[in-house]
Amino acid sequence: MTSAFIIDVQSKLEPDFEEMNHTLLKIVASAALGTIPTGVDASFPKWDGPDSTIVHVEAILYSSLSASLLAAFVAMLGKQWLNRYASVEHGSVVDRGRQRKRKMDGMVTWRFGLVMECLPLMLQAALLLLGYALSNYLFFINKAIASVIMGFTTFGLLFYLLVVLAATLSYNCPFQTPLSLLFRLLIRFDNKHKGYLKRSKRWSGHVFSQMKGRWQRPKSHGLCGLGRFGTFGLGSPGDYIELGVTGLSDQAPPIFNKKTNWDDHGLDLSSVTWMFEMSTDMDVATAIAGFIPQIVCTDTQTIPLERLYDTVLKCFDRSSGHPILKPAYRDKAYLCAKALLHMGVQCKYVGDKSENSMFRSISSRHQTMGSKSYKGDSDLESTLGMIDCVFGDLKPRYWQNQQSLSFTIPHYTWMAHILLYRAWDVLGKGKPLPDDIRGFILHSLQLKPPPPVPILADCLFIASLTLGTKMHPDDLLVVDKR
Amino acid sequence: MCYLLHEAKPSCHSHGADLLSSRIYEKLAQLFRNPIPTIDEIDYAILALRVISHLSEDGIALLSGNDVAQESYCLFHLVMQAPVSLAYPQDKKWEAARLTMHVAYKWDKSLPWVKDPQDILIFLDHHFDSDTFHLAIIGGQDLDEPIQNALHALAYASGPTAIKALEHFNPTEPSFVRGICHVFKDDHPLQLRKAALFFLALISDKWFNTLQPIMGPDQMKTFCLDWASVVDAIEHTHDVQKAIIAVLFGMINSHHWRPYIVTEKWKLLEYFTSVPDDSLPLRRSIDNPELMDVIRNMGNPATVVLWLAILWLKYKELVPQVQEQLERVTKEVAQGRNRMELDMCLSTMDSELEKAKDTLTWYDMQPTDPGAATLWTKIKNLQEARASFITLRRG
Repeated sequence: MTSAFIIDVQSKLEPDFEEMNHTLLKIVASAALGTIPTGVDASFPKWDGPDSTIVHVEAILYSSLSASLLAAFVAMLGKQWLNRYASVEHGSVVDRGRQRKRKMDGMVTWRFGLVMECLPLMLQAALLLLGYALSNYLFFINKAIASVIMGFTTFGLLFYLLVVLAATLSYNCPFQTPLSLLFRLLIRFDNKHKGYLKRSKRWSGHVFSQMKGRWQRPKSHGLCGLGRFGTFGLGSPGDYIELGVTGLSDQAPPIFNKKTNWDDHGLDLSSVTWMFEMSTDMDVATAIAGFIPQIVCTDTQTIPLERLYDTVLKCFDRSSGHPILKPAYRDKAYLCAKALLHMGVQCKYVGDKSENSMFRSISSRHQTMGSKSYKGDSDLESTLGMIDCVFGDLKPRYWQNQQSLSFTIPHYTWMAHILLYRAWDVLGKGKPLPDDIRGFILHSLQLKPPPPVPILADCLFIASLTLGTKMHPDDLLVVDKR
Repeated sequence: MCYLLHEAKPSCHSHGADLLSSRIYEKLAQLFRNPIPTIDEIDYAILALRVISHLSEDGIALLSGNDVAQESYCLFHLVMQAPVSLAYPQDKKWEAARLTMHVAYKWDKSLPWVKDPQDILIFLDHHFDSDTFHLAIIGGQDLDEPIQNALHALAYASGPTAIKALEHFNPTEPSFVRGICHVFKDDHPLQLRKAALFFLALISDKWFNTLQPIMGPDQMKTFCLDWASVVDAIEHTHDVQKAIIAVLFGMINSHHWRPYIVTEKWKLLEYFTSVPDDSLPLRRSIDNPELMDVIRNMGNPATVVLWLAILWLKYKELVPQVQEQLERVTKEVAQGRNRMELDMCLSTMDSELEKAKDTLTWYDMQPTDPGAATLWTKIKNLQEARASFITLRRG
């Protein structure tokens, strides 16, 4: 439609030879009739270039056309991007899950949604420009017709402005547009989102640091690894450019020749935490909590520690003032408590500043969970007891009667692994070895028959940490340290 | 004395845990060298030693034996030499010593060579102490294992230097004697008793060759019975034979001990060929003129013949009095009913002669070697003894 108007207006940019011929014929005819034309009629037609209004209108029409074409171009690109996003990758379920998460993170990091939001904006701009150009043009030709166009254009513009205003005033208004969000960002209007400018500043800082962190991971405790820079692709060699970033100079070289893929661990973490946060069904959340002890914590920003703690709390009856485990929630309590502990201990190990506020918040409302005997369920008893140690800073009661403890092998293996992290954290801060870790080691040494060797290897690593032996963080991740 | 852990550093590590244990030992060495450690540091060190000790157990075998044993041996010396303090009290010291000793000498397959036995002897002496015994009983602690480990070290891994150093040690202190007697009792593990048997061979001269007996008659009798019981319980390999005969020579040469030797054990003299030619107990026994009459008075012809065989091997080296006794008794036996038993003396001499000649072939390349000269002398002596024996036998 814009093109049709452009073609129509285009003719106004050239001299009107028909008009000129008509004037000349009038002069010739007058001369033939012996009438001498005077004034304007006597002058020869002369073209002084197109009218400025026509040039203005034509320029706006071209702008509108360009905006429409650009929108079409971006829409096609968007289609390509979505095709790539929807493409199915090869590999195991875990690999595909990681790949999917990586793509999704990429979309979030690179503001795919914002780019897509620009499409309607461009089309809206094109329509506005067309309305304006038409009004201007028709006003030049015929004011009555122009008034119709001007009326509709003004109505449309006013409607849009009203919608934007409404959306800006109310966050709950369904007519949200990018413009309204932008206004809200700028004027910090909504009470709920007060300090939005500061938040946006923080957010942009966070995005920047995230991207920076992605290139320089791991970051805390001098976690040593190779920095990665480049696109987040399929993990194929071509996708990465590895930077020779070495660890701290006083860090011991790794014992095991197993290079840690921090990107994969980061993806696993964000996938599981995303699923946990998205799930509204308690059973689903519990099932997801069951996955958590298998992941490695690389970043404290995304860890739903408080929500996990709340989930654990829901398994207890607190009406009497003291938490009593509801029998029906026994399994759920165990899985969620284990997930909480796993995340909490690793979160401390990663040592981000944000951990402090989270831990303070949980510690302030923590009530002893592990003091009750759980009818021979040593796994549950020890897990809740460790939560008391980590979040409540209490003495481990569950080691008091070691003879009665009987752990399942998977739980015992997990305990060894997580206590190693805890030992790293506590001893690294110059504190003495906690009693629960000491109790665990001594218990492991007394067991007949002895526990599996990987557990004893973890004990050796803890003992090594107590002596201040330098250790590489990658070594902690190795499950079987033989 | 300075024990450096780098001496004990393994050349390569097959396991991550081995590499880590090596780092731990380095840290422990630093810690025990520190004259003012903290209580926590000592606690952590003992915890680490407990873990390592547990991981070295045969059923677990997370740590490869040789490297850890060697490093533990070096650490043992540091533990023993570290000054006792408020943070490092006696009980912690002995626990650390027990743990390091356990890792170093628990398993026969990798015994670090003892360079200086002094610390081990102090360790052993401490564990033989009556107070320690008393405390161990109260604490439900088993002292057999540390004693066994120490005896393992001394008996199985002592080289010439360590054996020489043992000469300066007095094993006749009452507590030490009581301890050794105690471990020979049959309510202790056989491995411990066996180690004690070997260790006794190293100190036999100081135990048996004394002017005054080191224990009372009843104790001696009991000890001889216990010793005989150990001898019966173990397999008589060449090394065991050597240890047995060394002790037996020590006992028979002592008029304090001789009466208490279990009668059946005299036949163990048949292991006389296992003992080295320059053995001090052997030397003393064959030069002892009392012995011939004592053995004859026992009324066991087989023992008499055995003794004759021993003496005939050393015929040319005997003191004149014993030489005369030997000729006399040989003559008597040759004229008696048991004359055929004298064949044993001849066959023994032949066998030793053959052995000496075989050994001499090793020296063909270096005939001027002192060893070759000694062998030539031995062959010559044996040939002369053989000739004398045949002459005497013919009468």
